Amino acid sequence: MKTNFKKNESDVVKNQDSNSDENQNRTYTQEEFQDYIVKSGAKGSFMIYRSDNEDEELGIEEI
Amino acid sequence: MVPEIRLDSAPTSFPFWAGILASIVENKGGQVGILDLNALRMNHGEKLVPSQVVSEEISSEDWDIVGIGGLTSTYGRIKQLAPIIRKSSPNSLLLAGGGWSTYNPDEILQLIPEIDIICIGEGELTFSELYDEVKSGNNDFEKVNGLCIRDDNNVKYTAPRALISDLNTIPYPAYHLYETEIYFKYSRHWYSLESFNAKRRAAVVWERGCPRGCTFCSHNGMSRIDLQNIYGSGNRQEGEKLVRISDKENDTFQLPARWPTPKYAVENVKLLKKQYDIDFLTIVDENMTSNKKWTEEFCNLYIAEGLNETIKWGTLGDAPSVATQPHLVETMKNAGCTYISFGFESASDKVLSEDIQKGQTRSHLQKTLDTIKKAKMAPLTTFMIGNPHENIDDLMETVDFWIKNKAEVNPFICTPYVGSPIFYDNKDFVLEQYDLRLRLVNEEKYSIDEDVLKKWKLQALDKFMTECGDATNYTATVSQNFTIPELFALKQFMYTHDTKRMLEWAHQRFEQTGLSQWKHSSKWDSYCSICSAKKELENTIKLST
Repeated sequence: MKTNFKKNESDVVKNQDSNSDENQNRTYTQEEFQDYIVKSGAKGSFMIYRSDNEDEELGIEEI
Repeated sequence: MVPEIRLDSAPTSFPFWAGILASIVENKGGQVGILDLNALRMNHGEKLVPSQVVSEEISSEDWDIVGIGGLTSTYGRIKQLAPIIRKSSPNSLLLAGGGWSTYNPDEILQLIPEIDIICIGEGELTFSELYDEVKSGNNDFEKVNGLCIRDDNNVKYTAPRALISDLNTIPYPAYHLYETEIYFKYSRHWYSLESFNAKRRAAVVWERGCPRGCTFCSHNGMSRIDLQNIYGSGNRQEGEKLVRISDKENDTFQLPARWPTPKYAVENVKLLKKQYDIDFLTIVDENMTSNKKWTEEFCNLYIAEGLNETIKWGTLGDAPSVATQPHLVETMKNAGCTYISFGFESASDKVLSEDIQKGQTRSHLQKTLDTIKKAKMAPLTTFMIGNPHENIDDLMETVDFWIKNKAEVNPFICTPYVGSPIFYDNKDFVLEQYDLRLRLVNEEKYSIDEDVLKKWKLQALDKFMTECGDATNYTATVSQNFTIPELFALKQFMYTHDTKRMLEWAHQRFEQTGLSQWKHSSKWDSYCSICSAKKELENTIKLST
């Protein structure tokens, strides 16, 4: 707990997993990010667009 | 105390309510602390914080007030925590508030006997006055508007609390009492590359309520529509009578949606930059794009302050506003916006009109997607199935929209959360799914004493609220056409675009039951292997004769 009347413990996260920590902090390129999105699937109901050709995404030509 | 929520994902948003109430106490010179179990669970194997730890934290001080709050889906956890709090701090006033308790406070007080008082809806003024009562020792809570108070075996409502007319008066949260480093570490989300790669993300919420009237939604008691439902127990016309009285007394007109000024919002961001050097901002407002004037002013000011390059951001919007004013997306992008999340819900115009009632059409959805693509932003949209009047044709409209747009979507299941119009409209239907005796009574097959019936309904409500989590899983359904097992099978077929199996099953179910919800229109014949085969055979026979 953090309070305004006593010294608060450092909020450094305990039990860190060094591998997951590395993954959490790594900066992704646009390509790596897109790859991650495609591999992770439509998590939590968000819509994911998949096409080899980015210009084809959304399929507006078909509307 | 902030309960754990969404254990299957990391904590992403600061507990705004706790920070604001802590600020109010600090401004009055009081002592206050925030026990954020939702953040601290990351130090406990990402699981619920052990009861022993909670107990030790609470009993470490002699608290006058212990407050607990959260979204609707925290009910089950709060019910576990309340006895721990009571035991660890027997003399404190146990105050509850937030979406989980705001819509049916009288029932919550019956279900959780440890709670003394529930704050209904917007809490700042109500809490401030209640705090003064405790501090002065008067403890005259009946004169504080917006409360539901335990009174021996009964409950008492005080007069309704008018919504705050000037949100600029709300203090910024006491950020120094948040577990900021835990949030910075774990709040990585994949809505955009910028949000994914950021190292110090902060979340803010400025808007209260939403101008749309979606039937599945509610706003933690912070919009006029919510207050109508609360004080009318789901009868908005009855509730409106009381809301008008509080309007008159307070010289206000309480709105469905309210914002502080853009200046207030930008000053908030500058504060976060100065104190925490944040590099990404998640604006959790329900519907920023619905307020064009506010959004444009905010974006202009954000750029004028030079924040657009250093602190990228993302937010939520709605399709009708973007479809009719597409330039808004470019304005937002220029100001640093990297994603906008939209609730598309369904691509069936019938469902959008009859069930969802957001004021959007399939055409709005398409125009919004085209606009987002043009701005080279990621389209983020959510859908749901299991809407009350949705049939196989409506589901095909939605999956057809996904197929045409090359989209993969795992839809939510429409869930009648307490406080939403679909809950009030279907309350008996929801409760009988948790107690089959109620179904038999509703079918007038049995006559039962009113008090017994009331008790069964309360027990059923308890089971429903305990089970309510995110709508990715099942609880009660409000579908008039499909059962939960059917919805889960349909959800899977839709997710994988397996229209062949979906329509074959529809044929089978129609033959078995004769129910019209399974009979698909000829519009979908090209998706249907049975209809295609039949057509082919008929053509072959025609040719051969």
